[in-house]
Amino acid sequence: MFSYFSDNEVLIQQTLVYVLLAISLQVVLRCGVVSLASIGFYTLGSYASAIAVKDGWPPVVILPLVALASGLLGYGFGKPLAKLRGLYLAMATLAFDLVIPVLLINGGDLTGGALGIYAIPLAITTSSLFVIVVLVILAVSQIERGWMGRASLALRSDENLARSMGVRVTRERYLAFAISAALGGLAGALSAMLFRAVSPGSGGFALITLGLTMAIVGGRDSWIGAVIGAYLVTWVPEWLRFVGSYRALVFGLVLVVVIMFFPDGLLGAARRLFARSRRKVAPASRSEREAVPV
Amino acid sequence: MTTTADPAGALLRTDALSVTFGGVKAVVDVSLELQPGRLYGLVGPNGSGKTTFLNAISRLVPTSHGTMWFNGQDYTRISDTKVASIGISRTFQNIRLLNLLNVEDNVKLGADAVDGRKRNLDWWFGRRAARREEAHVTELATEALEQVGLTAMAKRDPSTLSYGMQRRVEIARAIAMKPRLLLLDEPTAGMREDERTEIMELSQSLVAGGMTVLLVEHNLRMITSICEHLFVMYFGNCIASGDPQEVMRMPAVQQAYIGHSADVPV
Repeated sequence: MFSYFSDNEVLIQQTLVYVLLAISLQVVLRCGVVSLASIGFYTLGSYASAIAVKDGWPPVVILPLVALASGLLGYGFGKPLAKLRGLYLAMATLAFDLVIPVLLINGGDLTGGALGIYAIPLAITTSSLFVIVVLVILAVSQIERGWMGRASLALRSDENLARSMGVRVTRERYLAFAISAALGGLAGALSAMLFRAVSPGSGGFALITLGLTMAIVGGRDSWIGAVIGAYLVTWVPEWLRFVGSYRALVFGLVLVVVIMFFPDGLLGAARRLFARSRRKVAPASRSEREAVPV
Repeated sequence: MTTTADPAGALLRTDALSVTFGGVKAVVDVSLELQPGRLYGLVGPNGSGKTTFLNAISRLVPTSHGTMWFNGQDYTRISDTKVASIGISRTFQNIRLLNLLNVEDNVKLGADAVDGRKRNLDWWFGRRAARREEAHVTELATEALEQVGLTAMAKRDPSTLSYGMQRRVEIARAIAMKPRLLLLDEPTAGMREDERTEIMELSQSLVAGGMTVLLVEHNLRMITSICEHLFVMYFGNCIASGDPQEVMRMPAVQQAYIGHSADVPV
């Protein structure tokens, strides 16, 4: 057990960081807000964390600060984008993500230019990372329950209906932006502390695609989908090592098949399967069969 | 909502309410009053502005002119998300249920609006109060489902229900909000005769319970038989208002419906 852990520690760490990143996208996608801004906050968070760790700041200060600052910036970022929907919002946030590496390349000594920042002192352990991820999941799972969960799904499915039900649509959208940004920033900060190097390319288009893949393949309806997505994206390429140079091709095909046949992600497919099996086991109850009209 | 009191004392009053979309006048200077605990009908040919009027009084479309009073308060400029909390709920012309939620959760979405929407921070940090609220919301949803006769369907996916049942879920969601005014936009569209009768009986029972209902409907025979007061809209104007039987005999109404005066069977 211990040897399995030590052999795969980097993959485990990567999975945990990706869980946070995937949740940062899932939180907004669940509300129907197609924002990719958390990837930009991931990059910003990783640089902020790298600079602070090198300056000798303790992680216990850096992590909440990065998350809070990212959340506040995300909230502010949501305001000018409040009227954008769907692809237009995706384009605007994509532009934000792609501008950040350019700024970092031109950031001089502070950001290390095109090389980035490396030899960052190791500042966090896998067990601390695990605890942080569990705490985040506990907090995020509350959004999916009760009235907040219902309101966010209403927001995604039918904004006018949500308004008529009293859902404060604009406020909920800002909140989704803020949480997503905070989680993106936190994931970036943890990544810099664990992997000890950051570069402008680490948060580019590849990470956007990866983040979206995790959230969509896993299923955007719940944090569980994000966890499934993060796990698959990290581990499946490892399992496919036996196909050698065709690894990327096979992995890509697997993703295409999943997206084609399970549009609501693997979690959605699992839920449907579970619901169907329950229906087979338990036919309609007597009260259901005899449901009387008004 | 402004605090200026409406001297007329009606539950809902509109004064010269108008809605325009670009150059199109969808609702033109409509003034009407709804008294508490009564069943009102709103009829008119297709495109006469009935749904736009409902959208205007539920603040889903902005008004271009006029004022709206609810329970003595001017609410013309309040946010559309506050309409539910002042006591107005509605259904839509097309069924708008969330297939991501089961029947009970769809109804709870309406019950969530009772006493105003909750605060995000309370949900995270006031867990005991949040649990109490959730229990209360469940109670309201169960009660509403019972009223529409769908208690047994609470855990079902709405898309697996018949059309008529889906309509009833929508009504349950609206009444779970404990509104003082319920706006029903063509609730019987596409239903069988027996299902229509059920919805009409349900509307009557809600009114008997003290609610005010404004019913938009195309079936003149049905609406004139159950409503206490009828409004007729035509090209955005309210062309008639009063006792349903008398209103349907008015030449202007007959002109609007069949192009000339005649004995409309009511």
